[in-house]
Amino acid sequence: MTARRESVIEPGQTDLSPQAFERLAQYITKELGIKMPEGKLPMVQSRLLRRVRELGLPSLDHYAAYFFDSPNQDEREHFINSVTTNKTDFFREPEHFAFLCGTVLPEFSAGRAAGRRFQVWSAGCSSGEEPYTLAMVLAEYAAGDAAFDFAILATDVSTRVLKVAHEGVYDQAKVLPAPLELRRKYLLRGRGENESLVRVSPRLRAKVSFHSLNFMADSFGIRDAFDAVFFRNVMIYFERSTQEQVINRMAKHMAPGAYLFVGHAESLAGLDIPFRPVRTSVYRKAGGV
Amino acid sequence: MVEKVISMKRTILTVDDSATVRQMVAYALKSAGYDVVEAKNGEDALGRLPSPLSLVITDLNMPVMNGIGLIKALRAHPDARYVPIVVLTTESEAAKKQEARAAGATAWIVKPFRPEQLTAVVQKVLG
Amino acid sequence: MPVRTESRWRWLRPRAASDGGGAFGAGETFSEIRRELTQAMASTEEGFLEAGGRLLDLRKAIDGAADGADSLAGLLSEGAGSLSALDQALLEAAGVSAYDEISRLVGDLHGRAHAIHGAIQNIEPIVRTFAVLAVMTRVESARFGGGSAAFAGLADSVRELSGQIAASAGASGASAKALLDSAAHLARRFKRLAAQREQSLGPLSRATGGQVRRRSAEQARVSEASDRIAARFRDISASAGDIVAAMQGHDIVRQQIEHVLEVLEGATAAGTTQLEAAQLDHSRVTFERSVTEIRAGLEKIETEAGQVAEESDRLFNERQEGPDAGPSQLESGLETVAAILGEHAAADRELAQVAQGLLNRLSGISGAVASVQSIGIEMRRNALNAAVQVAQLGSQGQALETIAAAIQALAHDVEQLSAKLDSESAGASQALSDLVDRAGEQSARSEERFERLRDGARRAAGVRRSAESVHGETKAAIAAIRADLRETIEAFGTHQACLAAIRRAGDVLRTAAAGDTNAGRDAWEAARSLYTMRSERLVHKAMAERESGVAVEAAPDGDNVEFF
Ligand SMILES: C[S@@+](CC[C@H](N)C(=O)[O-])C[C@H]1O[C@@H](n2cnc3c(N)ncnc32)[C@H](O)[C@@H]1O
Repeated sequence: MTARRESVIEPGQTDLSPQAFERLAQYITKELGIKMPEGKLPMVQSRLLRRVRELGLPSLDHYAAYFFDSPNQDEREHFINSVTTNKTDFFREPEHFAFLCGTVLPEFSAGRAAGRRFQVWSAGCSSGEEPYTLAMVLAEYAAGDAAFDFAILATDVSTRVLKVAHEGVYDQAKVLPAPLELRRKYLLRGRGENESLVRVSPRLRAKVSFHSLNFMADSFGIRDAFDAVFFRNVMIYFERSTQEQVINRMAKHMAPGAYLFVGHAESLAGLDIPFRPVRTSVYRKAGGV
Repeated sequence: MVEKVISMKRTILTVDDSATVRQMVAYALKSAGYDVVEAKNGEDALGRLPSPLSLVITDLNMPVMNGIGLIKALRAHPDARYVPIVVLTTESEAAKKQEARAAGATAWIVKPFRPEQLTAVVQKVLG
Repeated sequence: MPVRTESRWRWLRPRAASDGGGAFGAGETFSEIRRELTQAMASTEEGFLEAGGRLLDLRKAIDGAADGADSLAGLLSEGAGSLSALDQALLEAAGVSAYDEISRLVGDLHGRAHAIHGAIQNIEPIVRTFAVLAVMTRVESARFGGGSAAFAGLADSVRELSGQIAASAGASGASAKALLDSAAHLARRFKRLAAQREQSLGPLSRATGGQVRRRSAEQARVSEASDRIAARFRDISASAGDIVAAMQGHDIVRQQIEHVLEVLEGATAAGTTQLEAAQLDHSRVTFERSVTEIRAGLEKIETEAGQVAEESDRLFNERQEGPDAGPSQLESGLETVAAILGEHAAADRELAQVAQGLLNRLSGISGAVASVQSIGIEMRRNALNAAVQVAQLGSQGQALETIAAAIQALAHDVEQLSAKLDSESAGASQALSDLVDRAGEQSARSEERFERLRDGARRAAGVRRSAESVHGETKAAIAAIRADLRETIEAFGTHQACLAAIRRAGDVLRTAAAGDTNAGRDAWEAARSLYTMRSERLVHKAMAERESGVAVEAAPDGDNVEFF
């Protein structure tokens, strides 16, 4: 038998055994609600490989063993950070922002109780592009309506993306989908070696508060009643039954008549939830109006 | 129970005084699964804004109301403020580009386009 | 179409720039050019729109054909898969070794039935001898008077017991005869089936198996080819992109011409007429190229669709004309094999039933045999007693002693015979119950193969029919596409007039340019500010060359997409 070289992953060792994958997949589904059919094996493999190298483990199967044997929860965070899909963009699915500013906000302004702030929740905010887009749109609206004020809660389960979001620093190329005018107003350009970077202005950053939150938790620990929730491109990874549970839990934190925005590839049809469709991928909670 | 299902198709407004170009834009986008509404010029476009509207593709040189005028009008319209606008034009002059950019255009494509080019831009912009 | 002669244009003269009336003071002529060009562009647009309108239909149809080829590929690869499963069933059906054991069992049974029958027949003479010995015993015992009660008893028991043996033997004799007949019949019947299996089912299954393998390989091949065909259709569909790009040439040229007209209309245009003429030449070339490209694109699609259609047709027909792989032959082969298997399943089932019946009959024989055996034992015991008493009689009882010895010997024979009967019928019983099991199993197997083959035959026929109909539909769709295309290409010929109009306008401008040489700075600037399209960079290049007198590079095309 040849001696195994430590922390070098041999070609054959990059494969997870079906048993190890099964175990990790079950864990992901249970902890995050994300479904993990066999087809996701290559994805899980490639995403975990980096972590395996960091830890100097000889193979992915060793990692699985290490993960389940770890006495503390440290590895859990790394694991969650590795397996979540965080693709996002500024002004992604722009129809929603048009609808927000053309319909939802004027409606809110017209019917608002004095002094009430417009509260939005970016649920599954990833690296912050969505809540900052919301912040720009709402700040723009506020500029035309002195009585209007807003607050944004942004949550995600991945601490890695939350950190990026909190920093609010992005590549120039990343912010191109935002209208030029808004970029000029709300983004600061990097200098010197940061020339290719931009940072969200402090004023805007102050409008967004970031928190870690897992949709699978029994209670979200939220006291506010939101007027709009952006829950986009998250539940696409969930089982139907999980979607229903999460949305029902979410509904408890929404004001009557509040709007729920979901991704364009997502549909709530067939779910037993207190919402009715308003237009493509926009729903409204029962009550209120 | 959520029962009513709303069409998942996105609607794109194409504005061009050339019927041939409108036809080709419609061809490319319909093949890619979008709904398409056509307008002959800026004014015509404003008169038939679909709702919801996902994206506008507009020419610059058009009679009655040109592309820059349309972009400015859309940017002032509450329902269309954040709708991405792709300029599709024969022009390639830097000054014109700058003008469109300042007015609030999102992207710029010089004619002739190939269908896959157009759909790639649309997909990128819509996210 | 009105024919315009040179003479109609001859009086056209550019005015001097100082006139302030633009390059063409002769407004009528200018408006004539304008009208003609505008009209030409408008009328050609109709042709473009018509061709363009076909494009979406075309794409749908070609994508449909690709889907058809795709589904054909799927259908056939599935068909090929289920056919190779059939091949296995046929191989098993052709194999006769499964019957070897049944054959041995039937033979064994037949042998044992023979032995049982023989043994039972052998009891008869023994019984007759007993009867004689019984009479002799009684006669001899009478001679001893009163002291010979024991002998009288012996005589009675011999008579009675031999009567019992006769009864038992008689009863089982009939059963044994029936058993033998049935076994013989079974053996003959089984031999016939085995021969049939050997002669027809084996070769037929092997032959059909060969056909199945060929068909399966063929289907796999056609399936792969269909995949390729689907891919080619998708390529063709994607190549419509070239046409989409070329179609926009109309818009580009229209705007180029508009720019020329605007420059000509402008007050400061004098001196650049040469440039406008060159621009029109460029427009004409661009327009002509667009038209050529659209035509070529459509023709290319037409030709390629034709080629692919032919290829798919050839593929399909080849498959049908393959040697002895005729569609119905394979399927009827399968049906025949299935039918034979069905018969065999029935025969095997019957065999099991018959064997079960024989087993019951055999248990009747076994009972009789057991009683014969116990009678034999009792008789021997009686004979032994008699022998003892005879010994007490001394020499007087000699005759009786002989008789008792004979009874004893005979009783021994009975025992042996019944022991042999016992073992034979036990063997027969084993053979029969094995036969019940084996034949039952075999019939179940045959049944299952029968189902599988019949199913397979139906599925194969189904696949063939659907493949034929999908192919037929695809073929019809392609034919329709090609007809549409040819029509479109025919109709797309209205551009000559437009080209002529642009050329004429260019000629007029060139003539006019002869007296229009000194362009002022502002004339250049005005022209430059109008020619801003990417397709007009040649104009700028020409300007730059005119100004500097040296050759200048045209600006590169660059990327045509930019995000702000
Ligand atoms: C594809 S991103 C979507 C980002 C953004 N909403 C958008 O549409 O662009 C999905 C995010 O959901 C988060 N996520 C997945 N499962 C989660 C869970 N159980 N609880 C909270 N966040 C979760 C992931 O970490 C990831 O950042």
